[in-house]
Amino acid sequence: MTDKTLSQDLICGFIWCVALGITFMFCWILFDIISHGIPEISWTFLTSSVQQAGRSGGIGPIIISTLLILLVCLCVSIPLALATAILLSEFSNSHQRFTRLISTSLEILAGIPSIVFGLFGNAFFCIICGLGFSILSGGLTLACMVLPILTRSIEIGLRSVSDDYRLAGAALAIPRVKLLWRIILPAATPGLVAGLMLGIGRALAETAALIFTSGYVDRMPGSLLDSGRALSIHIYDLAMNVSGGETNAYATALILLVLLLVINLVAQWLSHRFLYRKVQL
Amino acid sequence: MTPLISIKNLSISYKQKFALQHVNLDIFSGKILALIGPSGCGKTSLLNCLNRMTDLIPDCLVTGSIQLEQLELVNSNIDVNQLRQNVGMIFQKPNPFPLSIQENIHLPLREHAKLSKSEQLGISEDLLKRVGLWQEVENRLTKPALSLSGGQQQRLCIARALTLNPKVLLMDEPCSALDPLSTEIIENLINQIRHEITIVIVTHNLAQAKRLSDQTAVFWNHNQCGKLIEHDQTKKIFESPTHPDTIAYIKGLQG
Ligand SMILES: Nc1ncnc2c1ncn2[C@@H]1O[C@H](COP(=O)(O)OP(=O)(O)OP(=O)(O)O)[C@@H](O)[C@H]1O
Ligand SMILES: [Mg+2]
Repeated sequence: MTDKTLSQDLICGFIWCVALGITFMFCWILFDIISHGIPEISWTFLTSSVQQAGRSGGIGPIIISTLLILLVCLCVSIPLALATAILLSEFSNSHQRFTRLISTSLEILAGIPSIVFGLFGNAFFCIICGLGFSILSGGLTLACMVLPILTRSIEIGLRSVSDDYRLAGAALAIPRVKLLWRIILPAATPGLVAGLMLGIGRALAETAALIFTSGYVDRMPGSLLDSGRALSIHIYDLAMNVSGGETNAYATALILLVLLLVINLVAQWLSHRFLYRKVQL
Repeated sequence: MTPLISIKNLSISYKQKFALQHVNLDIFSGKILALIGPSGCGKTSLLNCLNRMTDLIPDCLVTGSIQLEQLELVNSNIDVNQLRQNVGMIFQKPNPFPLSIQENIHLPLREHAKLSKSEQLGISEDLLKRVGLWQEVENRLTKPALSLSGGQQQRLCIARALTLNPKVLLMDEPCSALDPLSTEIIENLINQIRHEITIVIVTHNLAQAKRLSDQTAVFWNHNQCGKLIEHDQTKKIFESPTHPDTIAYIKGLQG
């Protein structure tokens, strides 16, 4: 009897320790970045151009390049991922060879290291397509990279919507596309946003795939065909290659975190405004 | 009298395994047909054939013939949506859409007819009154349908199915998730609409079959495959069944 409660207490304590450990680690990283980064942050840091390889000056062009790369990436990957996920979850069944082929391809794609995507992007977009080192090349390469995670999570989101609605819709002779648009997609919004954030997080964190494609020119890009340096590459460069760049690396990392947070909030708001509001769960 | 639906030599199999074999059954206009029998003998499968919900199930193969007013339903190239407008369905588990109460009615309504907002509101009021839900939801029409109780949800689903003015209503154990009071309300509702619409109802509640239906069909499992063992007027089935399995099954009513 006491043995049982003792072992229960032990297990319970262990789980608590793990949970606290994870929270502690997260807070520590956050504290480290914020405490080192915050003194450097100012409006001029956010807007002015990079000087002395980043030791001084700001990160204005870098933020713009990052946002442009992300924009290209999302404009290409979201429609593709959404269409593929809808095809997989709504308009085919998992026994078909075709469906299995797509699923397997996506799983393999998801497992490929990002450096390989970088080399592929360089060979295909930069050289074969003639886009050179550019924001466009970088964004397209990132799109290939996030496509599997994005598709998978959107598919899971759609599949998690109860089949009851699909049956009810079919029995009421409501066309499937209408049902999808009116009920299934809105009901799946939380899953869709979670998947989107996963994809954006992966894209923003990426360095290896971008070094060979969008390059690391730190000037303000004039068009999508200019090379542009992403935040993650800037952090990497400051931390590894530029002596005396640590404080600005911290500050840039902090901006990256804030950017992620802002994008998250915007995604939540947009999806709520345009999709989730259409259902009452 | 010519039947509204006539089922001939119907067999249904899933992945080459028969769920139901050699069913011959006539369904008459304006009558209530009850399908009874133990679990897994293919009642739901039969129901699903009548509005081609079987199309949604992969590896489901249907053979034989079902004629609805000269229209062949089995494996034919018909407009399935047209069919489903004529043959409505109520599921075992109430499944209103995650929308407001009135939007549950308006959505199918708009899909099949061009109506102004006020016409829609008028029709939904009529329908909700018909299923006896109006008084309960009058003041919360824009509230989520999922916030209703199970019994209310099921009545909303019936109202929703009635939006399409179906000739036939298929009901798969519509009361099995409900308490006796809600069940009674739904039974009263069925009694109200029984003259305008042909109803096929699956139920495990023998007393309910006896109370409601005009005809009863009894299904049974033989060698793990469903068979129709007896069908006749409900009175006859319950008072003087002929098949030994029916006799044993009906005994459950007394026991
Ligand atoms: N989607 C499916 N895939 C494979 N087999 C199925 C499927 N649906 C039903 N079956 C099989 O077909 C047989 C008949 O099932 P059905 O659901 O029609 O029975 P039922 O009479 O409605 O049972 P219950 O009273 O429990 O609802 C069962 O053996 C079941 O396992
Ligand atoms: Mg059933």
